[in-house]
Amino acid sequence: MTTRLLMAVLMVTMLGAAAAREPYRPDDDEQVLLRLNDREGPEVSEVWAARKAMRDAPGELSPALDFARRAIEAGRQRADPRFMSYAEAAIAPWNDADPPLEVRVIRATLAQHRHDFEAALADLDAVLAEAPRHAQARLTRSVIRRVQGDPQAALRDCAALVGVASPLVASTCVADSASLGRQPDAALTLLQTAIERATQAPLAERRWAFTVRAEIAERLGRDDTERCFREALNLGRAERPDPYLLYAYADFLLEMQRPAEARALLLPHAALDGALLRLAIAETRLLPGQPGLKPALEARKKLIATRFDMSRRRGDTPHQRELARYLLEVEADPVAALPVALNNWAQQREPADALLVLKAAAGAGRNEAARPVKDWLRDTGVQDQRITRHLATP
Amino acid sequence: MRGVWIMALLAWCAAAQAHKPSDSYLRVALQGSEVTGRWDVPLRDLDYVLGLDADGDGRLQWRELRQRENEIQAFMLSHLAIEADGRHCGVVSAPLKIADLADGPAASVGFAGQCATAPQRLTVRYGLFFEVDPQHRGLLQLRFEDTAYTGVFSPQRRALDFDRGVGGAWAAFVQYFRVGMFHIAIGLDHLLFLAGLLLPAVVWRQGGRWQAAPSARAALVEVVKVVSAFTVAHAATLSLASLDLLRLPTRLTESLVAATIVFAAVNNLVPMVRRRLWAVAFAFGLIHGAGYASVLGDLGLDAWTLVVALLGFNLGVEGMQLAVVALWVPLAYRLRHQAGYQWGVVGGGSLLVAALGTLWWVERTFNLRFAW
Repeated sequence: MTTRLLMAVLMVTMLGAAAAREPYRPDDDEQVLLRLNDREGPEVSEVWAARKAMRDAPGELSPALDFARRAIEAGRQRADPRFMSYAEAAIAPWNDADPPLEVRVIRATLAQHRHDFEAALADLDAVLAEAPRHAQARLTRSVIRRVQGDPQAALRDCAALVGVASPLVASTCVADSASLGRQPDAALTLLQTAIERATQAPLAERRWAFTVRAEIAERLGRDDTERCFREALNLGRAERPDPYLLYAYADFLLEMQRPAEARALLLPHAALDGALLRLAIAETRLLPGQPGLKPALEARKKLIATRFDMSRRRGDTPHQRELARYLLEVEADPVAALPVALNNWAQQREPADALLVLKAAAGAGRNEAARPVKDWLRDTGVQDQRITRHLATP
Repeated sequence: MRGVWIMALLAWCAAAQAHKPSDSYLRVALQGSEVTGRWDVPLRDLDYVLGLDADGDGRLQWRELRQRENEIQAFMLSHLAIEADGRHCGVVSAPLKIADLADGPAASVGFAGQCATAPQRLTVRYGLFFEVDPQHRGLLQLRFEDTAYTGVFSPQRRALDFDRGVGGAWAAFVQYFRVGMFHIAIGLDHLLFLAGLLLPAVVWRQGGRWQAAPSARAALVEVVKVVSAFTVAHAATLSLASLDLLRLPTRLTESLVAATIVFAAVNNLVPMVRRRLWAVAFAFGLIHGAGYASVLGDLGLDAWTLVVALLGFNLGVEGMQLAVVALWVPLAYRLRHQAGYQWGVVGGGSLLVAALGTLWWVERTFNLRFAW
């Protein structure tokens, strides 16, 4: 009797953790339970068409590849990891030790998405050994190498794109990597010229180029940085901006000590995990002047904790960069943030990752822990106004 | 020149997600051989596989779900199997419900069923969505007896085994220790018998007059001896009966239990046995234990857990009895010279216990039931 009661209490508690309320049986037939937004928009209806083509021709590579590519694009646009997984399933029949080249490229893209850079590089190396002029593989490898903190190697891959990919793609790739070297101004000029010439380039290419331009401008501390971000944003649909670009612009505003504007920018997109984190950061900074924000901030912190927890329950490692930022900039706990930031640094080494380690180490009073980051800054010669500013503040 | 897809390029990361990857939440509870559970599967994923939006208007309505309720449930349950020691546990599902999860609405299916045995090993097999969504995970929360487990199903791990281990035995011990304590606290039989033994602990009839205990310590030791002897005997027969090594007709044991209560009470008023009261308690304990076999008998526990459970139960009984003694004896000791205590509590109490015991004895022996 008591045991049953105890069990019931425990079960209810467990259920409460995952479900907002008890399951119910709707009594209205017309009640809309779920809006399948995935089916809206042209690019996604193409995904469903591609899936049908794939299902109609089981065992055939080409429709499976087509579906996988479209699913990956939709997954990125919608910020929905399920689509990545659908792509993974589509190529699964060819997923063995020696798959076709295109399967390897998709596999590498998915591995990159999971931040499994080693697996991605292994596949890309194999593809490029066989087909050195494979533009997609080149481009993807350059991105990974840049993210891993090796702009020189990234630049070599970008150089190999000239004449293989469109001029704007090749230039953007070169500028992005070269801007992390010793002549970032030249890189920006190159990119600016390429953008002005390629007015007819596909929207996706232009958006990428504009985003990279804004990022370089920010690192250089240029006055027109904000205009660059705005121009990049204007290339997309206002209601659904590219998440990467949105976050980059928000981070710029936060860096410029303009948390109120960052908050206004992000509020319509609070459903995105990355926006949620940055909203919490902005509100943490605004709180002293606006105590009324406290309930909103508390709710966001709770939601972030829930999402980290859900990710852990799945057996996934929460993304270290985001976790470190949360600990550092929301919880104001640099001692806890530092090991996470260093862990992140072992995985990816972009200037933002470097800045994170520097800030956490300084906050924790352990500047010596940032030694590997300082070595990297010296070896690469990376110039970044955010880092310079941080190192200049006593 | 080949086109490249740019969108996949920017170093996007897990944090750029508006949704989390697909998870289902599976809760299973196993008590004895009885399995119950609830399974929440996101509608978004069910729609991806089953195409639930029949009219294709981009809105999933309850009607569209309800009309295919059986198919949805059959689809889900065909990807789940629960096995008790390798033998399939058949389950029946309750009508489909909707659960609002953090990531959107889910089809929620409650189920219940019966396994062939109360297993040593529980196996849960799970294979939902893995063919189309390799990043899907099934998050399991299991209560196996009183122990909580969690597990994650993935394409690489489609079956999880759970052994009733030391944790399970410890949980059983704790659980039945509690049952033992409550058994004393709410079992009138037991309380009355205990009262019968305790009432004369510090003052008793001897040679037609009241005799007060000379020392509290001696009185306490005497009572503890009586109570413990009772427990040991009680434990012995209870264990034998629970392990199915001893079987007495319930009616016989129950009327004997009543008779012992009467005897204990009458013995307080008209002393028949005073010395070696513990031996009497031991004998009576044997009878009581045999009468309680049913407390643990049909729980479907395996032998090892049953032994642990019995130990817990008996220690729970003893612990509770000693607690009552510890409260009662010091209080009674202070009042032992007062006539009100002697006649009122010991005398009157014993009479009351004797009367109730007699009533029970008649009921049980002649299979009658008084309306009271």
